[in-house]
Amino acid sequence: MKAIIFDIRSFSVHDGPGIRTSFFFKGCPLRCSWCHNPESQSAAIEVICRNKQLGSFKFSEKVSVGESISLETAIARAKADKLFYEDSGGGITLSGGEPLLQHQFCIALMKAANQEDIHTAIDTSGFATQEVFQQTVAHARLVLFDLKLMQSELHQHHTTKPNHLILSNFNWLQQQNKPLIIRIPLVENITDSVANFEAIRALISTTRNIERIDLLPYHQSANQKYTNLSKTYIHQNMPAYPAEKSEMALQFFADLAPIVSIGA
Amino acid sequence: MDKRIAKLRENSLLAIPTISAERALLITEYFTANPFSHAVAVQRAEAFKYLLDNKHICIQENELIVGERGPAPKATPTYPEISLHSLEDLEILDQREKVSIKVDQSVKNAYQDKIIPFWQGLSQRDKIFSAMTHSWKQAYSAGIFTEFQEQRAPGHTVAGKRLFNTGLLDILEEIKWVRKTKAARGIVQSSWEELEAMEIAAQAMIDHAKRHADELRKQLKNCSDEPRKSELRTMISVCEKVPAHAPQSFHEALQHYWFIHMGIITELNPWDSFNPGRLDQHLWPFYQREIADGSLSKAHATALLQAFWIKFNNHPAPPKVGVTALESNTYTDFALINLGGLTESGADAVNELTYLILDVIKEMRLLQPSSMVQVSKKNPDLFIKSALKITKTGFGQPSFFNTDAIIQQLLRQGKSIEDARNGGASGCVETGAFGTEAYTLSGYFNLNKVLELTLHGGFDPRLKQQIGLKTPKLSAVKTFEELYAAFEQQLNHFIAIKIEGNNRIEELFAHHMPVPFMSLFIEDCVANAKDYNEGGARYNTSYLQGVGLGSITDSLAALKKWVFDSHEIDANSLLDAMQNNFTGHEPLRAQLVFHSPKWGNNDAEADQHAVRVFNSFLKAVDGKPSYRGGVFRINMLPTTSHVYFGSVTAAMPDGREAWKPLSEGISPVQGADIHGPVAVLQSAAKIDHIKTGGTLLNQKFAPEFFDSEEAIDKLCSMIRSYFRLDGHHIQFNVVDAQTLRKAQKNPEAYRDLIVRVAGYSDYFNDLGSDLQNEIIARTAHKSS
Ligand code: SF4
Repeated sequence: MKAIIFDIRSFSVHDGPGIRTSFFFKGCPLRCSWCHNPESQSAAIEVICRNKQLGSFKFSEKVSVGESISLETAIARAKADKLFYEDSGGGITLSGGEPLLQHQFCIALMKAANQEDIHTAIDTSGFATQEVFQQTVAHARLVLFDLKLMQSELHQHHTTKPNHLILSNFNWLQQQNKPLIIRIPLVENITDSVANFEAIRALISTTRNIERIDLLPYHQSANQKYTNLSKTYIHQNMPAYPAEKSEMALQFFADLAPIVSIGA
Repeated sequence: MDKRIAKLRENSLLAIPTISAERALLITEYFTANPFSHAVAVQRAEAFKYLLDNKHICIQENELIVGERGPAPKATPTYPEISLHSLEDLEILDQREKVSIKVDQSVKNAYQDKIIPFWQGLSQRDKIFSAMTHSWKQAYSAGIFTEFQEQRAPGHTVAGKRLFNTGLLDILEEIKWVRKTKAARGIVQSSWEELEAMEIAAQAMIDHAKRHADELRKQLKNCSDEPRKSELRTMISVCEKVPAHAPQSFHEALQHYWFIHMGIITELNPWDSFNPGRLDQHLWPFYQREIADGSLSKAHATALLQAFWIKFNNHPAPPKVGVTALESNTYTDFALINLGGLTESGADAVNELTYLILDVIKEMRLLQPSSMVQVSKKNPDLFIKSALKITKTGFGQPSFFNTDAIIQQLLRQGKSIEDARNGGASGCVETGAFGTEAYTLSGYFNLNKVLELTLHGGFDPRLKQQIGLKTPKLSAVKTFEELYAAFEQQLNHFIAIKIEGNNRIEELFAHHMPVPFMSLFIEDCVANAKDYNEGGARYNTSYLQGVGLGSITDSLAALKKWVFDSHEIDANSLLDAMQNNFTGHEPLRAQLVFHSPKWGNNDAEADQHAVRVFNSFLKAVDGKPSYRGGVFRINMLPTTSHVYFGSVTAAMPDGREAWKPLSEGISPVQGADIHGPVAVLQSAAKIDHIKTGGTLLNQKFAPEFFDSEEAIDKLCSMIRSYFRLDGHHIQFNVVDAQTLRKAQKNPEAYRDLIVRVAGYSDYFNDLGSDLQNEIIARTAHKSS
């Protein structure tokens, strides 16, 4: 079995508890206008030109974004840092893109990890059929769930897809006894309206098992990535999300989880 | 911080390092009046007495702990009997931009008129160089190794229990007893002399402490401030008691140590000065008792410790002679305070005083003494986290050491379990049995230079001489195995030369430079009636330090991949590119840099070479007998020699340009570790740390990484994991590259910026620009 993955990062410390190895699966059904990971959107391996420099020698090099890796390789990578997970309470995180697009592989990888007593987490937008969602998430010991826009038309407008699948999956998830981390992107004038915040609040205030809420303020780091991929970025000139507003958002959600943090 | 302590600290920070000719003049006077005799030890002891009896006693206003090596803080003596500064050397020291040491005209005059005429040709350095063979000298000038004892005496000595539990009068009794029992069994002449020398040295220090008491009495007479008067009275009684008698209070213990420290660094200039070692353990009984009976307050204990810290900072390293400046160019004299670890009976040694001393470190923020924490599996996380919170403030201290690994290393070397548990690390990262072992560092060894010579069939392209054995050149070998075999042959050849040289040097020190005073404190020199430099200590180890593991690993990995496995790069074109320092071969260099396996990424393809080189180095050195009756061992640390070694090594197959610094310690090549810190630790743990006497791993983190409690927890667990893998040491440089660049452009505004260099911290401003650049280049591991 193989999967297309665009990065495997060890010492990932912002995708769940402890020290983790994160697998970034390539391909995403959404197209969020603010996306920080444009290289994760297309499900195919892409070849791009990257400018490099060595001293005063400048050159450009073709590099491929994404690699097809075997389950065995992925399991070996997952196991490599086991000792570090043990001491820190960490494990592996399946992220993306949208990992559920390659759910068979995710299931196999998490099964293997669970057998090795490695903690598993999945970071998902929730955009998948109920069957796929439920089958896959069952193997994760922690779920990181993104809540972007509560109103379906707005969701459609800014991410190109409506949100009812996401919400129904979230509803199911609420019934499960699984630890959750909620992630909310903070994008000025898009996700941070009072109405949206209130709606998110209403949705999660009755949810048990929320371990933490991570507020993810928009920042400009993705500009170069869009250029490399020859994609246009409509938020090219949007300034980073103002710190005062992040602080306000933090206050707004502060009572809903034991830990609420800005930027994970 | 108490106002007066703050003032003393400021005085110490502002004091300008100068050279004092006092010691050199006194030692010259002594030997002019007393021509060299055959009873060398006795004569050295008498010279020591002459120094202590006649040197100026410097006691500053408001000091609590007294004793200065020179006539004023940072007035640094020279040791012409070890290495003689020329007038030109003095000029360089005075004028150089970094780490300058001011030399005034009277010092130059003293050198010209008295010191140079007397010592010319007689210094230990002269003796050493004339005793070395042609091949040793060739290898030395090619930059294959350095020699520690060419400018400083053997040392690397750390105080143990004996020092803190014993008065000099007790030791004088012991000497008498040894003399009696030895006499009954028959004793050689040199032992009689050594015992006599020890007695003279011990008595000289007792008298010297009295001179301090006398000086304090004078100050008391002129003092009108009541609180100070009472302090002076206490200090007088302390100086009248120690070091003659064993200390009985916290204050006495610190003063007792300091008198002995002064004596040892006045007798000679041993490497890494001297070191109180396990300070929280030694002081704990005094502290506990006095806190309990109310005779000591926490505040006063803190003030005494702070005063003690300032004393170290007042004593910069003795200046080197001119040319070897790059090799180790710093004011730091490498006293490394150890905290935590295990007690002699194997229990968690962290106590209340440990945390108090951590607070002192944080508040004093001084370059010297340096500090480290020993972490055993039995120590609590709180201890690690408290230390990390100091590291976070960005002055490179404390660093983290694995007690359980240190104990295994010492046991492997044949120490008893108690002596092992009383041990620790000193200098940069060097393992030792404190108070019972003489473990001298003999020199840095340039692994990459040996590979460079191998690629050229034993020929050094820089000196344009055949220096090594005639083995086939890179273009003449067919397989990687053949190349590696040639490398191993060259390696063994140069290590044999180095070890032979060192044994000669150990012999020269044993014959000409005994240290009867230092020998009083290291077990079992007195019992054996044998000098420290003659092998009198219970354990004797000589270390050789491998340098540039990351660089050589990457070079071998690139050679294997491109020249031997894929044949994509032809041997001759690679040699050609190296010879031209990659000018006109930039794409080739890019291929070597960006597409070869690199050490520090947990990549088996690269890491196998590190393990192999490490094992070859180990095999060539480990267990070879030394003159002092011990054996040679290895450790992997560079101090700053990776810069010097880089400056004599041309471009290499890892894509490193000619004369640029090599990788540091067992850290990856600057910027080559692209998979984050866990991958670095995983690679680093592949070599067998237990078979070394220390390895050095430096990781630079952006300050953001220490921001939250959560981040500190993760770092703490990361240290635990690395230590579970038997890693020996890890240190963190917490500073971002941008700040460093700013500091480089605008040094005035960053005078306080301290960075971790390699096993020690230094002011960023005091580093040479190449070392500054290297620190900037080292990957700043940001959290992902
Ligand atoms: S869900 Fe995430 S990866 Fe997919 S487009 Fe949106 S931001 Fe990008």
